[in-house]
Amino acid sequence: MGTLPRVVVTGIGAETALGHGVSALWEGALLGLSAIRPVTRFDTRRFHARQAALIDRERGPDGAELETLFARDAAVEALASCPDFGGGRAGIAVGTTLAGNGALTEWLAERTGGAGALSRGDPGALSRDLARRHGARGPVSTVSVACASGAAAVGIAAEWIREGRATWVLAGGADAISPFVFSGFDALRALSMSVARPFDVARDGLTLGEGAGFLLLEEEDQAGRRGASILARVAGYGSGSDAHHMTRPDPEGRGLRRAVETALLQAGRAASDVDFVSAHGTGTTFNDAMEEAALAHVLGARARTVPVNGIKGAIGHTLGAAGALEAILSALVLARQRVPPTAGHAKSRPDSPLWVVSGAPLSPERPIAVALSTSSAFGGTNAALILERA
Amino acid sequence: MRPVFIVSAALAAEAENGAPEDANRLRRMDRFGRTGFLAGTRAFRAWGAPRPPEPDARGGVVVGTRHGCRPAITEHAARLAAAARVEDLAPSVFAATVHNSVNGELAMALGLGGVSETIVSGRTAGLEALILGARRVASSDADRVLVVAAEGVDDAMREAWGEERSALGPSAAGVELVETGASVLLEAREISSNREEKKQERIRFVEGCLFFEPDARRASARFFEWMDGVEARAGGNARSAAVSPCVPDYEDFLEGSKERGPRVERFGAAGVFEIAREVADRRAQAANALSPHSPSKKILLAYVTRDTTGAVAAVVLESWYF
Repeated sequence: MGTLPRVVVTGIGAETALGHGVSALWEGALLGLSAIRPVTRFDTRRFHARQAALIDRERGPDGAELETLFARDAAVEALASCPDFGGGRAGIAVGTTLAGNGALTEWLAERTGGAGALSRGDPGALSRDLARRHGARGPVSTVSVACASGAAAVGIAAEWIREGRATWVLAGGADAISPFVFSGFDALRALSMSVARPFDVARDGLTLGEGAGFLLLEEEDQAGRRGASILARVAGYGSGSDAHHMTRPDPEGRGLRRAVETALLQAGRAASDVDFVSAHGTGTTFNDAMEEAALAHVLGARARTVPVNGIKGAIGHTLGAAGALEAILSALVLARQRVPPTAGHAKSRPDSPLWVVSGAPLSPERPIAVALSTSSAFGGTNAALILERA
Repeated sequence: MRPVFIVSAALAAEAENGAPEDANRLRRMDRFGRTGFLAGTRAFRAWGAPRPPEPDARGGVVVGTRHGCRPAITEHAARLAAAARVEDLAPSVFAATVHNSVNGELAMALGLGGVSETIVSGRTAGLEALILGARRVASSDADRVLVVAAEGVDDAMREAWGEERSALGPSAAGVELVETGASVLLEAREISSNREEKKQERIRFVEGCLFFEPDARRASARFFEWMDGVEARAGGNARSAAVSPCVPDYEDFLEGSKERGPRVERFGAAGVFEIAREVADRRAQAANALSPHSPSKKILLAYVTRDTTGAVAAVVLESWYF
């Protein structure tokens, strides 16, 4: 990257159905726990699927939607060791698929939202809420590329730092589950009748989840000056389009390959450098097959030797938060040199090209220095992040 | 970083028809999808770039919108409210309830397999998308990026806009909500391939800025400070930039400016709309070699959008003829 500033992760925060905070996510993942349960928040009798990984939470007293509450909590945790965050060099980048949907559908149903209903359905409100709460006066943006939103937000935030727009950026994603999205995925027959089993031979669909994940990204020199603890570096980001179908992935995974190749190029890395993959791994037949094809192509013969985790068997598919939570997981794997097992995965298909870590956490013999995190989405959008050990 | 040029621009308005080859695609889109798709395909095809046989990894789409797929969300919500069982829903409608639907449709129609990003940052979204698209080209992530800004407007949005407009106060009185699609095609290539024009104009992306400042006066000061820097960096060939406010100015953000912005609300499509319209006008003038409006010197054109919540996005373009 020449003389461009390097971008490091100096704070992380997570809200997931495994519990409050990063420790709940990490400890739960290491134990192979799954937070997928029968849905009680809304009536599922009209639907085929019945389960999701939901957080036991109600809307805030100020009327804030669940995704906003998740984002606020995760942001506070990510900034816990950084009380000085804010000002004209501080940015906010949020990825979301659904933010604003709750307010919008409520207004549509009752037409009682009053003035501001249009604004309350505005997905961009999520990033501006965080900007106001944390005093960020630099670039503030919301990215929405469906299930790749969180990864895109992290990638764009890192670029802001490299190009000098900001010296630190709170970046991540948030989404909440409602009957709106549950019904839609069910209508597409994308939901599992049991639980998500990423890359498992018996997988039968995804399980929805909700939550938020945020990373404090910072210019490495500044982090060093303030003595911040550095978890990892964000070295590369890539985006690529399938140009194939709105909801079905390209069977050969060409869009994801392009995203990964761009991210590697930006990071100045080769595919042979990748030591760990945090996969999108939804547990659907088509997505996981696509991802196997893409990773087999990019990693080549090494694919069977690179440990892979898919977190969606533990916390469900958290949509716009997924890419950010998986980036957090990647940062933790790099920092702690342990790979959690993939909850829900028991057995890969015999000819799977991937090594999916299953059953128990892995402490790899070869140090994990470079992690790849992948995301794929409706609309054929794919995103990839490269993180490095600090 | 490579220089980035706007090589084509197009607009799409409400209730327009698309090209016959796009009829099937257009039928499955909501109003947002259609306006964005129409503007994007027009800008791409006007430039004359053929659809590659395989998706082009070097070509991408970046979209900006405030409300995105809200019309499709409204339709799915209505269907869900009436549904006794999930089979009563339309999967194709739900599939359109992602804000990157325009990215996907354009990628498929035009064979664009590279970057795909959608910004939903309120009224600044369009110019943010332009800044991001220019970065993708400048940094060699892509050679060609179609930047699209669109807002589809359905009846429910018009109703909600009436309420929001009232809340904005007297300065918003009479401001109408307008469905809009606008697109510009960015390329790294410096020389236009359109040899038909008698007099060739180049429009280069110079810089963009993004910041969040809820106080309108401080925001104005930051914007003009940035503009001063851009003009200084542009050097002696540049004249002072003409500043175009692209959205209605409800807060007197550009205090003292003669330009008060349009009296229509295009939300996230506003900034790219103004640029696409300007480019189209200039191209039309350039087709007439005797046009008195064709400047021989480089000029700077500034476009600024401000969201009522405090976000600001601005870009400066450089235009000249050769």
